[in-house]
Amino acid sequence: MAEELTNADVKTRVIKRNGNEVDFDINKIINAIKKANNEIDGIHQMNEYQIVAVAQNIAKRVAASPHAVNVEDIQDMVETGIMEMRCYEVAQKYVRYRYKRELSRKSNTTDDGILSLIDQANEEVKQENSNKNPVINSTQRDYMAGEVSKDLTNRVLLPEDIVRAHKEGIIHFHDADYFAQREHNCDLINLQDMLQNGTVISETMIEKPKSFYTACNITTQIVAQVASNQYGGQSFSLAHLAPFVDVSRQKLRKQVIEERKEIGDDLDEEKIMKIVDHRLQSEIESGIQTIQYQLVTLMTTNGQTPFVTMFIYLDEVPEGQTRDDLARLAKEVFRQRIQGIKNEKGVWITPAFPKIIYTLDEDNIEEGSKYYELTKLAAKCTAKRMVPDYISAKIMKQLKGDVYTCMGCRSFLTPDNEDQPEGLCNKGNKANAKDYKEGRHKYYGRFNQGVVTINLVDVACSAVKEAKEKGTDRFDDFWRILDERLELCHKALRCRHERLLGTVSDVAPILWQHGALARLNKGEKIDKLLFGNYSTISLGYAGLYEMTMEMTGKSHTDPEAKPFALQVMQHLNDKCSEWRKAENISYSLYGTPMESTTYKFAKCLQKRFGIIPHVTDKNYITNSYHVHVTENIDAFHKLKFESEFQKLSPGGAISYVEVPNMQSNIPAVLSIMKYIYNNIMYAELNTKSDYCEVCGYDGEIKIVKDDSGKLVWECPNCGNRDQSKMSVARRTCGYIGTQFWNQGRTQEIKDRVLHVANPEFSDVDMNVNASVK
Amino acid sequence: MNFGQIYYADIANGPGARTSFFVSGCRHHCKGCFNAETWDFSFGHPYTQETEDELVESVKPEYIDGITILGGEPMEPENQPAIRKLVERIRREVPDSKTWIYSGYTWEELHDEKSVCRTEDTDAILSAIDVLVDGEFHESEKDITLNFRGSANQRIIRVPESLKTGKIVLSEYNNEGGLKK
Repeated sequence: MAEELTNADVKTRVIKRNGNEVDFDINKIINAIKKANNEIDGIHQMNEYQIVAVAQNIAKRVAASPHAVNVEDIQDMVETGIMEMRCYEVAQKYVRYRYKRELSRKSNTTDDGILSLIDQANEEVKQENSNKNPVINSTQRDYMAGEVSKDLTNRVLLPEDIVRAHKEGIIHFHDADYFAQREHNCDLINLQDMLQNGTVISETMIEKPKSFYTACNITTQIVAQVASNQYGGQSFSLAHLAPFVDVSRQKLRKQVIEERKEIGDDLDEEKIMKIVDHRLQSEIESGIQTIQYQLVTLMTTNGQTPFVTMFIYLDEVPEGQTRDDLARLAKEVFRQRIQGIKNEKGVWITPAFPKIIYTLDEDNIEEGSKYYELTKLAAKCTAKRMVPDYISAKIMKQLKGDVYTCMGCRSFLTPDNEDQPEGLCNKGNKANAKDYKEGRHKYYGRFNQGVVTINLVDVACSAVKEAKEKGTDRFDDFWRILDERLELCHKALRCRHERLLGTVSDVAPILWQHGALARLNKGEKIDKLLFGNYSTISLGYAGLYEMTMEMTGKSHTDPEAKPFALQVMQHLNDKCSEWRKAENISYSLYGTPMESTTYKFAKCLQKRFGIIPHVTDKNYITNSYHVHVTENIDAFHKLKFESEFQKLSPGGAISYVEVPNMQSNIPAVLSIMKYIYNNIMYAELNTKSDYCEVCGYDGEIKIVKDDSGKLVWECPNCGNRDQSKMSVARRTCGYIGTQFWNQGRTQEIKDRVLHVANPEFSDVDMNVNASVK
Repeated sequence: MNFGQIYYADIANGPGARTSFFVSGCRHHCKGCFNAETWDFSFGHPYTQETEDELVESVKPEYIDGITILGGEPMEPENQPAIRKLVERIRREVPDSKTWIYSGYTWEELHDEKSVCRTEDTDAILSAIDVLVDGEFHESEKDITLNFRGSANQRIIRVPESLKTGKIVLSEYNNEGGLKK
């Protein structure tokens, strides 16, 4: 026999089923034949020599091949090789074995996703949500469920045209990883009803708390339960906790009087109240601290801390003691947030949750107004910790008639009033809330069914491409394609809605039976809450800037291009109204705060249309109506400009301004806040307040290039570059992160244009943000 | 007069959101100066009536606290006539707005008849502004954590109060920041 080949002699590579190229390995062939061989009677078995001979023959053929060989081809060679040895029994086993493997591969479409997840190699999942750490076991369990849900969604639950459009990045069907189950998106929880009238948590009756501290504790339990039964965010109001301050006050007063009586002390009212207030203060501090620490340390069944927003609106409670108590709570919330929380290294950092929204109103925004000091503290808190975000009561009343918070994820409910087609949304108390009052506008207890986002950039690129090819008018093409795509979104949203139809209250008792959203009976369907104005369903949109660029050659901030952008927004709103009228489902237009989807859309656009300057040339597209991150515009002009678009985004949207460290210029923070109050409904400031442990510097830590060209963070005061000795917080796509970022994201953070110090000339840089004069 | 740059809605050169106006020309030549190219009197763009109109217009919105003039050296004798016209006009047309000037010349030098920076316009300028941040930049006293000044020797002076009492009244901002103290 000729000389035997070893693996090293075979230079030809083998292509695996998943497309990877690997080195040829003769042992794999030998093992596969042996496996089949061992399963048959000894009398028909091949001997060792025969097996090696078959494998050697194949090795020679592979080595002689001018190109890489497919693994399927090798299997064919094995089959023929065994037959040539006349070992038909072995060949038969081998063929069956091969067939069985193929079948199991086909039926199990989630294997790769799940296994790569566990091996921490699933890049898609890694970058999907900055609040989830895919390394942790419990988070992996959630992701495994997500992979199964996505698989079911793509193969079984969604129509093929939706799946295709989603894959091509024409639309985005959000939260497919939670579509298999009957879960809704986000909500405003009716904490007031649950605390005042009792609730049930894990089959345990929870009565009205008898102290502020207990109320705080129960609140965190409720938030955790709610978060585990839905995939989106939730908001609760601090106002719902405010009445419990006086409950504690009265309780403490009784105690103090009894104590003094017992030791024979006088019952001087002033003294008593002083002691009571002292004890009350420490109870308030503990209660607020409980909420803060519980909510950042809890892990829900969704594998993350609850995505929760705390809403602060002083006028939500009656004037007098309760409102003063609410202001006192807010003060404590800000005080503790300014301090921050300690990370595992003991460094004070900016917590991501709960998000805080503070409402600006006439009693707190004007210098000298009753609660102005609280507003100043809020400004300091924003400068230090990026929150609170701000809602203008003035503008919101103009736009919505009422003042209420968004649902964790920036989704806003549609206003509740008598002008709605069916009147008030909870007329006759269909939610069976115990705090129902006839004629009162309802927000707490309402929710959002889900989101589908249209990629407006793709509509524009498709229209321009088609017009070029066919010589048609691109605007005609644009409006036609837009309507086609909107119908696709509509169909996808209907799938969301229909998935929820027929859901029984038992799937999430805390939500549907025990007051968070409703108090339905056991076994009762939630369907009545899916119609009318009670819940909303969101048509999201993204890339208004790039769309306008492609269609008009100008940014939507250009006065010539702006009318087109506004016209598109109006059209999207008109579509929502049209669908709502026909179906009695509350469709609403939503400026989706996309995270990883902005990268997915950008990638798909480049694939479909190549690189188009200012349109598809970045690795992200601009969210909602936002001004492009690289455009020079100051905070005030940006907010003013965007307010016109926010008005047309009734289902929710937030505007932001990017600013440097502002801790030493609180008057400027207050100027921006006052401007928000007068001009825009909902906005936030991306401030930069970092901390260097080495020198104690408390300001913006800068991104610089090191000797090898890598971007690193450096303290501008002492030059410290050790990431474990500094705390840096940045908002990326709406979420606050403190864990440092990959090079790509670090570059994007570095590229952001600040919306202060807008230069008249672009030729000189006066180093204005160095804060060295 | 020439100028290097105008920033709108700046927040780094005085409290609130402000217009920052960087004039050209400076003879101090401080070691470690962050804007050395502005020492040249012909640096940047010529200052015109149009520039002045634009600056006055920029401080009119309610959300803008005022203008900060820096550079370069606004108090170089060559620059003073134009600066005087600008600050007097702002005082007249936008009386609520607060004007700050950063100068390498000290309060004392600006009042000294023998000093090179003292001109027939100096007193008029001082009586039309709210804050003077005075003194050269001393690299040895540099501290980036100081609020609104580069080195610890510089003083943030409340001008109207100082003129009224005849002695230097320091601003409360003088006590802010400063890790190196």
